[in-house]
Amino acid sequence: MLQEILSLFRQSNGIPLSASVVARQLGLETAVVEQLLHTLVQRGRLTLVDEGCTGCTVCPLKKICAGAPTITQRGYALVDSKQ
Amino acid sequence: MPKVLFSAPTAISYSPLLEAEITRLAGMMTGLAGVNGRYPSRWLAIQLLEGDETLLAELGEDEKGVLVTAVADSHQRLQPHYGDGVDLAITDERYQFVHQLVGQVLTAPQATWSFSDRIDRIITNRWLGIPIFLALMYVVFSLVQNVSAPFLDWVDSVIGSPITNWAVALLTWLHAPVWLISLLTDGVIAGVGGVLTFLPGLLVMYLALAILEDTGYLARAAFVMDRSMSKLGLHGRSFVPMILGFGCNVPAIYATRTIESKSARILTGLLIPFMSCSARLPVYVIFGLAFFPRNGNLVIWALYLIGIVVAAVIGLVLSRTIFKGEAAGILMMEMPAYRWPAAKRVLAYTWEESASFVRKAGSFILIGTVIFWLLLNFPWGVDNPQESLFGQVSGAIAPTLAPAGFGDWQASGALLTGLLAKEMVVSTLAQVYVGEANDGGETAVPIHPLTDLRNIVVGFGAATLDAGKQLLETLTPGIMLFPNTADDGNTALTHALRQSFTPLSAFAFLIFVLLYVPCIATVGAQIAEFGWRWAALSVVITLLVPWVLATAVYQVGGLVSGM
Amino acid sequence: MTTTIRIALAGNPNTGKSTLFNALTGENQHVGNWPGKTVAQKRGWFIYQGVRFEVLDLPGTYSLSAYSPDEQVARDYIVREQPHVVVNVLDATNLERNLYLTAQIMETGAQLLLVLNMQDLAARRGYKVDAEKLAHLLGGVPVVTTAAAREEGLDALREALYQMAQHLSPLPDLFSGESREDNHAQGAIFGPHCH
Repeated sequence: MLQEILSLFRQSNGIPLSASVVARQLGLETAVVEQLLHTLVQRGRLTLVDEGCTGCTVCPLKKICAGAPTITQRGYALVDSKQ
Repeated sequence: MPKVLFSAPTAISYSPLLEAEITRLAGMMTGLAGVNGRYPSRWLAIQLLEGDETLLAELGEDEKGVLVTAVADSHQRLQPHYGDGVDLAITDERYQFVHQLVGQVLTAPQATWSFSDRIDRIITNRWLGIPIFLALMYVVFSLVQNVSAPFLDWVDSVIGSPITNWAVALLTWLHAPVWLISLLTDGVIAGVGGVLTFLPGLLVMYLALAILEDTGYLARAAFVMDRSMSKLGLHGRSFVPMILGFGCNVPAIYATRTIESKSARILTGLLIPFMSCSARLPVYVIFGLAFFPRNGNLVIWALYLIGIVVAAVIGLVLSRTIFKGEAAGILMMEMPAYRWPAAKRVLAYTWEESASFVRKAGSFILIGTVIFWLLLNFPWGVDNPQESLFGQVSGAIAPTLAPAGFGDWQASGALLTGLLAKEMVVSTLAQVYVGEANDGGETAVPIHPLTDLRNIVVGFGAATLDAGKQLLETLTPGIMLFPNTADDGNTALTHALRQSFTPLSAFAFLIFVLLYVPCIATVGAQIAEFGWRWAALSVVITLLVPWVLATAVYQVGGLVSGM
Repeated sequence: MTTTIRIALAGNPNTGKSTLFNALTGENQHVGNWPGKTVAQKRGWFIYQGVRFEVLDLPGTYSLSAYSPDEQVARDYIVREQPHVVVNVLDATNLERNLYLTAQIMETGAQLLLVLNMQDLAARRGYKVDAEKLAHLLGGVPVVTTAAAREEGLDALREALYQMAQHLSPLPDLFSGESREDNHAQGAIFGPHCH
C-alpha cells in the first residue's frame, strides 16, 4: 500500500495529492490513506505542502465549484525527485 | 467447571525474508543483558528494522554497537528485495494485515455511495464517457442557438428601425452635427447593440455551464477527457483550464497555475486559444442563421469539436517537439459528490458572467466601436468606406485571406477588430454591411413612438415565447411540439452576409474565427503568465493554423463541390 | 488486602476513550503530567467484584512509533511498565485506521482487550462489525462492544476485565478459590471460551 502510494506520487509529476485523491485512486478509505500518508511523512518519504489549490483563486467557476471544498484539502508531495 | 482461557494474541507473521531477520535479531537480543527482559525481543527487533532507533540510546555502547551492526547486516541482506524501503515493507505488511482483517469482519454501508457510483460507472465509462460529453455539449449549443434566434430577430427589428429612428430624430431636433449622428447610429447602436443581441443565448450558455458544474458533472468530464488526452501525450491536468476556456480564454490562461510542471503549464497555455470561448459564439450564431438555418446548431457543435481536435493535434505535435521528454501524468482530482444544482449558486454565476458580458459591451466594445468608427471615417469626409483608413488597412490584409475564400476588405476588417474582442467581429460586420446600407435618408423616416413601442413589446413577447418553444423542443428531441414557423433568420445583417459569402466561404471564415488569436486580453494573460516569447509563439501558431485550415476547407470544399 | 490490576487505555484520538475512562472511574480520578513530559496523564480507579482496577488513560495516538511525544509516552508505558491489561478502544465507524494501533500493541506482547466503541453510531451509519469473528481472527483477544457515551456495555467491559484478571499470571490470591458467577454480563463478550 505504501509503495503503491509512492508510485502514485511519482506519476503525479510533482503535483501535490490529497488523501481523498489517493484514496479514490487506490480504492481505500480516506481515513486510512490519511494515516498512510502520515506514516510516509514520518518516514521522510513525503512532505506536507500546504498550498491547497492556487488555481481556484483565479478560477471563474470557483463560486459554484462543487470540488472546491475538497480541493482545498492539504496536499502531500514527494520529499525529493529521486526515483 | 472449565477455566476460561485467554490465549496470547496472534502476532502478525511477516513474509519469510523479513520474518527470518526478525527472528535472527530477536534471538540475538536474548543474549544481551541490557535488553533481555526489559523489552519484548521480537517487538524490539521489528522496531529496529523499521528504523526506530530511539530505544538504542538507553543501551550500553557495546550492546548498542552489536545491534546497530546486526540491523545494518539485515538491511544489507534485504536490500536486493526491498531496496531502501525495508522499513516501509514492514509497516506495509502491518497495514495489509489490518486491511485484510477489516475486509473479513466489517460490512460497510453500500447504500450511501452506490447511487453516485452507479452514475459514475456510466458517465465515466471508457466508451460512453466521451460520447456523453459530446452529446451534452450538443444539447447546450442547440439551446444557445435556438434561444438566440428569436431574440436576434427582435433586437434586430428594435435596433434596426425604432431606436435608430428615434435617435436620429432626437439628434436632429437637438441640431447635432451629422458626424455625431453617424457615430451614434452607425457606430454605437449598430456595434454595441449587435453584440448585446447575444445576451439571451449567452445567458443559456452560462446557465448550462453552471448547472453542469454544480451537479458535479464537469469534474467527471475532465476525468473522462483526461484518459484520451494522456494517450495523446498531453498533460492530464490541462483539461480543467481548457474546459474553462469555453467560457473565456483569459481566466483559463490564469487557471493553468494549477499545473505544477512548467512545461505542461505552457503547453496548456498554448492550446487554450483553440477552446472556443463564449465571445466567438455570436459569430457562429449569426453565420449559422444566415447560411445554415436548418442545422446551425450542428455547425456550432462541429466548430467546438474542431477546436478540441485541433488543440489535441497541436498538443501532440508540441509535446513531441518543443516539450519532448515530458512524461504525461495521470489526472488525479477530487470527484465532488453529485448533487442537485442549487438555484442560488447557478443563478449567481449566470448573473455574474452575464453582467460582465454587458459591462464588456458597455466599455471595451463601446470604445472599440468608436475607434473603429473613427478609422472607418478617416480621412475625414471619405465617402466609400473602402477608401477609409480602416478600409485601406483591411484591404491590404485581404489578399492574404483570399485563398481561404473571404478576401474582401470587410471580412479582414472584421477579423482585425476581432482581435480586440471576438464579439467585435459581429459588430464590425454589422457596421460595414448594415451601417453602409442605411446610409442616406435617415432624417426622412417618420416616427410613430407609440406604434414603435407597442411593436417592441409585442415583438419581445413573441421572441420570448418562441425561444421558450425552441427550448422545449430541444430538450425533447424527436418530438415536434410546435409547428415549425420556418424562421430563416432574415435580419438585415444575415441578408447582407449572404450577399458576400457562400456557405463554403462562410464555414471557412468560421474556422478562421474559431482558431485565430482569441483577443488582445488573452495574449496579455499569456505574456503575464509565460513571458512574451511564449505569447509570441502562441500568436504565430494562432495565425498560421487558422489560415492553413480555413484555406484547406475552402479549397478542398471547392474541389469537392466542383466535381 | 485487595488485589490491584493495572490497566491502560489505548486508542486513536476521538474514539470515546476519555468518555470511557470517565464512565469507568467516575469521581476517582487524578490528573497529572507524565514525568518529564508536557503530556497530560490521567489516572483513576474502580472496584469491581472486590478487585481494584487502576486505570491509566494513555494519550490518543494513531500508532506506537516514536515520532511524537504522545506516541512515545504511550509506547514506553506499554512496553516498560507492562500493564496487566491494555484496553484498546476502537471507533467502530473507522475500524481500519483504528486497528493499525491494535496490530502494533499486539506486537508488544501485551495482554489485549478490544473495546468496539460507538457501536450505536456505526450501526446507524450502516456499518456492521462481526465482533466474534474479529476476536477469533486475532487469536482469542476478548472483544467488548460498547456505546460509552450512553453508558452501554460498561458492565460487560468490567466483567471481561474481571475475567481476564482471573487468568493473569502470577494469579493474585483472590482467585485461588471459587470463581464468581453471580454477575452476568450485560453486553456481549467475545472470547474463545468466554461465556
